[in-house]
Amino acid sequence: MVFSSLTFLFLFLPITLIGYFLIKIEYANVWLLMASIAFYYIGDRQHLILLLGVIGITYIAGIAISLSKRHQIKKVCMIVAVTGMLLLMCYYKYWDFMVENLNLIFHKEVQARNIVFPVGISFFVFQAISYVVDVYRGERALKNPIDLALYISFFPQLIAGPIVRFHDVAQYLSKRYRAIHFDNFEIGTWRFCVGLCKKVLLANNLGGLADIVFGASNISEFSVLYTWLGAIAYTLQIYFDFSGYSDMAIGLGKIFGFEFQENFNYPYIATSVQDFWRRWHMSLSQFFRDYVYIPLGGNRCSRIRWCMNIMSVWFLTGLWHGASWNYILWGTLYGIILLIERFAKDSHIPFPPGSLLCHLYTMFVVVILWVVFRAQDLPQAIHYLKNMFGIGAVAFIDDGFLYQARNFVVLILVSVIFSVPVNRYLNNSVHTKIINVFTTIGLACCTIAAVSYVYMGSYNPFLYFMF
Amino acid sequence: MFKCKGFFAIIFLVGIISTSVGIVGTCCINGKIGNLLRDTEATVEDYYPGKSLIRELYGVSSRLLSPHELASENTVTINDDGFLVPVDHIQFDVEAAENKTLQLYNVCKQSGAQFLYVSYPSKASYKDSFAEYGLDGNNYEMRTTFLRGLDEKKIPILNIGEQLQKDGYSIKDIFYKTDHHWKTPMGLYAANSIVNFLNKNFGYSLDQNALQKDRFTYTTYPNLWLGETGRSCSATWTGSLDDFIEIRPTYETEFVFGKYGEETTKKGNFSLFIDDSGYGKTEDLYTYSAHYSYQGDESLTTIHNEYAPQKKILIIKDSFSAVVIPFLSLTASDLIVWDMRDQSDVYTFIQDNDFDLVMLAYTDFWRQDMYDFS
Repeated sequence: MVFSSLTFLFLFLPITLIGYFLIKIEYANVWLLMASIAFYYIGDRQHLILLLGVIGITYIAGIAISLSKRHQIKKVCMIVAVTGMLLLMCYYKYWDFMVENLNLIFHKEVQARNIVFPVGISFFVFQAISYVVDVYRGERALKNPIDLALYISFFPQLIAGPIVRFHDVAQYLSKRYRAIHFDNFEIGTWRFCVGLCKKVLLANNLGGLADIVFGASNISEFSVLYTWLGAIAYTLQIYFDFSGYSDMAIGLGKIFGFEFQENFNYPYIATSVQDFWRRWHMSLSQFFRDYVYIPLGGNRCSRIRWCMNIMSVWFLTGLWHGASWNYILWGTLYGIILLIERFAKDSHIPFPPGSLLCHLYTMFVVVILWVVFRAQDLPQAIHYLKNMFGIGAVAFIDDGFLYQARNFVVLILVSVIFSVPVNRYLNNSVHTKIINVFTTIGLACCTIAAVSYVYMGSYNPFLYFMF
Repeated sequence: MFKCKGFFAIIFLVGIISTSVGIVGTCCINGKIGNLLRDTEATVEDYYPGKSLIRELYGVSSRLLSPHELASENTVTINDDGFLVPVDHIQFDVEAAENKTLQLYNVCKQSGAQFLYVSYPSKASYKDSFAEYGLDGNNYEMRTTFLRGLDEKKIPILNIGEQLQKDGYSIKDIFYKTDHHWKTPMGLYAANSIVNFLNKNFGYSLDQNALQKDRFTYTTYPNLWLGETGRSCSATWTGSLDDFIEIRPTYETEFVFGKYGEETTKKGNFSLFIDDSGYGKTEDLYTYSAHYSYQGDESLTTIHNEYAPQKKILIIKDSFSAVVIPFLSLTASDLIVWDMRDQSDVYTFIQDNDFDLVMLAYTDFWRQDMYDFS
């Protein structure tokens, strides 16, 4: 079940809200856990046992770590639990990919198992790892299994993040912090609706254009500008899709008394690739920083070791996004670019000089690498990139581009405007009361429009099934 | 700001809860609560309060955001004059369909029946005109490959799309604006083409005179209906409804309708083909299809024409034949209708019946299983 579905908006959410507001605060976590289990069951019933299994392993590991007196035993418990969960995730995500590649290398014909991805496995396994590691690092283990189960399976962030680290939300699992405030409800509702509109009105419509180009059997049939249009559409689609989903998750969390950290901070205004990654999917970046990069030694080591640490993190970031070589290449290329930027910075070389050029350079890299990310496979990525630079393209411009550019001009302009912090600019320059009234009316209209899109069953892709 | 947000939050809460109560309440009243548990999303959609309004709201907002392109399950593109084109990039095994058609052809041959493949055009495959919509459709290419394959296998083919092109028909002359089907006059055109082909190539003497254009009355019902493609994007989005042309013969007709294997029959004239009860009922805009007001294409229907020359024809068809069969039945004594979506083993049916002709009349490659004849 996705948030942008009729079932969620008009059955699941109202029932969960009514129950949450009527039930005694002592039982709020039980109610939310039941709702979360139902949410996962409706979406992916065949893997519910897996989710419960991960919760079970995490609970036992947490208790074992907290009860152990000796550091070595704590460490062993932590390593066993983390390795077990990673192996589980790797089996579901990477087994078939591994078999396919080993077959190619060794010229074998081992059958792939066609394993079905458990929805949200990358998110709930990472949260479970966060819990075990944080308990190992000294955070207090949860005695109540319901609280732990809720932390791992809480429906707003269960299937598409943000990845909530345990020490960031541990306090909110306690009822003391979860009294119902109308302020939380109104801010959460607002945020949820903003996310819904971003996902349904902008991302899904842009996805229609991106899919026409990326889904084509022969990219060479498109002109250079048409392929750029497709790449830009996907660049905007993935931002509004992912940040919209994060907004909905953060908003729902707020409604139910949780404070999730921000996941996006206008990444397309970044002036370097490093800056971009400080603004894009921040919860994932921070997870890798806290649980991979720093344990590997971070930057407090030799230059070569540090380079290897960076590349390892980016290789894993790419792999985390899906079992395909284009994801790995995407991650690895980001690692290389970040290293180059860092070396340039250390050598006091302006790279590139000037803020507009910096921005253009960043967007150029980001758009090109989104093509690698979105392509169906590596050969298509290469083919697509060649076409973008005129190699093998039928023409520089064609009727198809003109038709689609005319068709999508409003949507792309609106999307570009909302991908920069326009509200901050408006708040500084126009009378706040006028802004408040207009944004409220605007959001109400957009929410109604978004509901109508959901009702009509318009194009509603779920981009995170590979994650 | 908080006052506005608070007001917004209350409206949102009231909105979702009242909608939810409305849906669950209607389900309870209609005894469909079980459906709500089994097939939740579809049931919520069915019992959503204020459906008409929400559809039109969708039309307005999607027109603002992308006036010419609508990405839904079937991608739709629209011209400035409201002409919709559904575009699917279909994954279809053309070679398998060719081989299965060849098998059917051989079964017919062994049973002493002649065989004809009739290729109807679709919006997506009529000419190779997708580039003008900026789309990469593969239907035209697939159809060409498929028909070339059948031709190489010496299977008789009648390509109606090609004839329409030769006769100078544009895509807008042939198809409805908001529906993927072709207009009623095209049904008459197709029947004429088929009869002409059979008389010329198979030595039949079917009554082509019965299909002369001037032997019919043409009644136009303006802005009558919203086609299936249009329904996926709303009447507001399409901007206008489709006209419907009802065609009736001016001469006397007499038919006996039946269902294969059943004894009950119905006697009457050409009017029995036409169900005009839905004309002008605007409340049924999202369910009514004028295309299907021409009936008689239900699987296993038998149509006996008292006045037509003796020929027993089996037509294996898709929905485009709804407006072909009534006119075709004016020219041959016995027509039997078969739809692979409702039936399974047509081989046995052919072997058990003494058909003069088996006609496979398909539009495009919507479903691979429509070529699974046994």
